[in-house]
Amino acid sequence: MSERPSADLRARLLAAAALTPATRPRTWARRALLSGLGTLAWWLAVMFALGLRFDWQELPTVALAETIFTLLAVGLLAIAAGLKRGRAMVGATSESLVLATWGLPTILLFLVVAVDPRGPATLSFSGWPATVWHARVCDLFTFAIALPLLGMGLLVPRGLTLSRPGWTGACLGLAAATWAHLLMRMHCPVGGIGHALVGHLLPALPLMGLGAWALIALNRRQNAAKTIGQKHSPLA
Amino acid sequence: MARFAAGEDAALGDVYDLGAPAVFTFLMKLCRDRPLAEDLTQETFLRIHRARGLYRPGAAVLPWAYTIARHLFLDNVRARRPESSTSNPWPHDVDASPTATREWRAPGPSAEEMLADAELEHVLDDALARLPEAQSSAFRLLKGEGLSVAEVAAVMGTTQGAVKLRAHRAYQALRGLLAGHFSDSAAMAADISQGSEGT
Repeated sequence: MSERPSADLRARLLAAAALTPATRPRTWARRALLSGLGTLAWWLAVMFALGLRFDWQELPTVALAETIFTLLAVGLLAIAAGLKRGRAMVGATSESLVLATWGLPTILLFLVVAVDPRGPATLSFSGWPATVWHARVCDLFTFAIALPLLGMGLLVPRGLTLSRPGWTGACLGLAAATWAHLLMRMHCPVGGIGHALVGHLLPALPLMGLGAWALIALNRRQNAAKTIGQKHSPLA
Repeated sequence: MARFAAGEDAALGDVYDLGAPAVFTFLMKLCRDRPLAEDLTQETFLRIHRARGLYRPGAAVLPWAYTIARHLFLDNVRARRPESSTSNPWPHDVDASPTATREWRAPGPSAEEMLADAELEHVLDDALARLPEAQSSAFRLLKGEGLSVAEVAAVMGTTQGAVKLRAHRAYQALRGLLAGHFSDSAAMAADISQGSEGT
């Protein structure tokens, strides 16, 4: 049931390819390395600028280690799901992406509810109105810290035709939010489940949405930029 | 592909030779328009050319090409939607000669067998064209192109379970459509034979 394209299509393709710039060998590895280094540099720079929370040394070691380890693991898993090329070069499988997009935020939610590292000097607010009101600063900080991280993550798969760009972008948004969450946990001296939920975890939702939208938009833009019938094509 | 990804420009021709017939056939069945299928085939391989630096050594090229081709086809459909008209069920330029379409068949068929096969293929294509794209693509890639369920899931950006379900639904719908077609043909043949007996 196979048909063959016309004989001149091969020649047309080769002529068009000669006029079309291609990515250099090992572009993926280079982009991933630069993105990783950029992420680390940005994270360390913000951490240096903000500083550690003043009650850092009084925090219970086990709870602190659980929090840091879990956030690191979730961040790395989200990046792995978001930046996986897969056997077919179209991104991670749908099952992995759905599992990461739903499972990892559930782990974060469980972490925030179950583990609340606090010392004698840790600040806290009573009542939801005060909690929400004071959490807005952390929301803005988390979002602002995560945005460049998301941007660096989105640069890596540029040019690849992903089969699930929305889910992939959501994973990258989650990864960025998790790294920002980790940083805020190490900086913000306010304790309590309510503050951690609203101030540190909630920004993950808009960031996941933004990541999904950005990657879908990038994919559409890439698809719209066809070379056929345009300046690069000998068909023009 | 490894040579091509490593920067050897000339290897694009080899990649094209290996993948173009399958990709073109897939696109041809989807859009039923030879010039468009050729344009989309060319664009598919240009995408691979542009993204070759992103290639993971050992990755399967054909599912990648199918994914790009399918995305390009769907974008083309979206772009043409305002001016859309029902697709021509009998493409004007499809080479209906048996030698062009019967590569898979055992050698030495009779002219009647070749004609029947060609008709069946057209009927099947026509029936598949009436199904939703997701169902017909799942069916074509699984049954026509011989991809595994996992590969089709990757191409279509869905789960393996969803691929099986879509292919099953396509199969059921095809059974209905083909049964209707052949019962109509049988009724027509009966009418003709009755008419000839009456005269």
